[in-house]
Amino acid sequence: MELEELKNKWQSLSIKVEHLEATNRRLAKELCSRRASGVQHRLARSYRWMSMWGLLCVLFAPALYCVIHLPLWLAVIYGLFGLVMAGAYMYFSSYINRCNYISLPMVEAVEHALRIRQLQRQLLLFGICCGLVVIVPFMTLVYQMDSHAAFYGACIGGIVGGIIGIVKEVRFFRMSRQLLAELRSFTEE
Amino acid sequence: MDSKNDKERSFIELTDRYKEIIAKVCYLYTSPSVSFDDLYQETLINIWQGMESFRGEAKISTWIYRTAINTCITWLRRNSRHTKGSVPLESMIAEPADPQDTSLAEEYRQMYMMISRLDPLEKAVITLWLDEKPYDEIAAVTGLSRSNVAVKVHRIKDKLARLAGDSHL
Repeated sequence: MELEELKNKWQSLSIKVEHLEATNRRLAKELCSRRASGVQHRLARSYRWMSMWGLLCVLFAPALYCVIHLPLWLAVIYGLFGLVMAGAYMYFSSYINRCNYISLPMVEAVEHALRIRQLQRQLLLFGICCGLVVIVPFMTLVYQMDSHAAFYGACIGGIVGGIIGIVKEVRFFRMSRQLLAELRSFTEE
Repeated sequence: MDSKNDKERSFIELTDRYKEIIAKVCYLYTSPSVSFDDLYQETLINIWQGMESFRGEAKISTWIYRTAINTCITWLRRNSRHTKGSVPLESMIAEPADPQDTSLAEEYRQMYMMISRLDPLEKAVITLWLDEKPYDEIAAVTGLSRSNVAVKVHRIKDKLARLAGDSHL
């Protein structure tokens, strides 16, 4: 079969498509109720959940002032920290979901995935710096209080929170690495 | 709820309009171990997920081609037991206009056997070339550079010509 003949045959080829309209409708109904899956969407969902923790800081801020009797300025900084981190995580989550990799040219998809990893590192650094602005005066003031229990409680809370934070970040970085590896494997022949 | 209904309606409209393109691409990647239905449904799922992020940077047909081809190639990589055997073409091909034309099914089988011997990326390039897409569009769909597409098309043509020659022996 010559190439021109192949081309003509290909263009005259008619696949039976009538039954596909029923498939399109059935799938449309199923997909309406389906949750997002795939590494990309799981990563975005994880950061969205992280933003909820930021909002919890805003809720706890009044307790720092009213219950623990820490200075108002510290409670305000704590609340602002929570708000800023919640906003940053929400923005990052929407950035991750901005592109659907399967419908992009692979070069752009890989670039986007690389940018996500870069932003992850920057967000982590930003979070640590902002956290230190809150934690250092907080621990100093708690230490200066008469109650040792409060100080030990704050230390234990910091250690537990730190461990949880490290575990989460390791998981997020692993997910973004997996996403990049999947995209790169596609371009390998 | 309205936005979900709107999305459902747009999705049905889009997939009905381009079902021929999606079906042809999926048909090309179908094999005894990779079912057409799986590829078609997976492509539809990816179209659904990609609809909201599509900003009209390319033609819709280009986007559909790209989604279908990427889906099929990704599916093959994840389920890499594909073999190069024959598939029941008769069940998938529409009846020829002339019922007396019994050689048509055999010619389609020959065409399918030739194309099925190409690797997944070559299949993508040749599908678009056979549909008379310009090299720029083939590059946009496959992510290759334009010059790379030209080289690939040239090599694929040589390969197919060799395969056509071998099949006549």
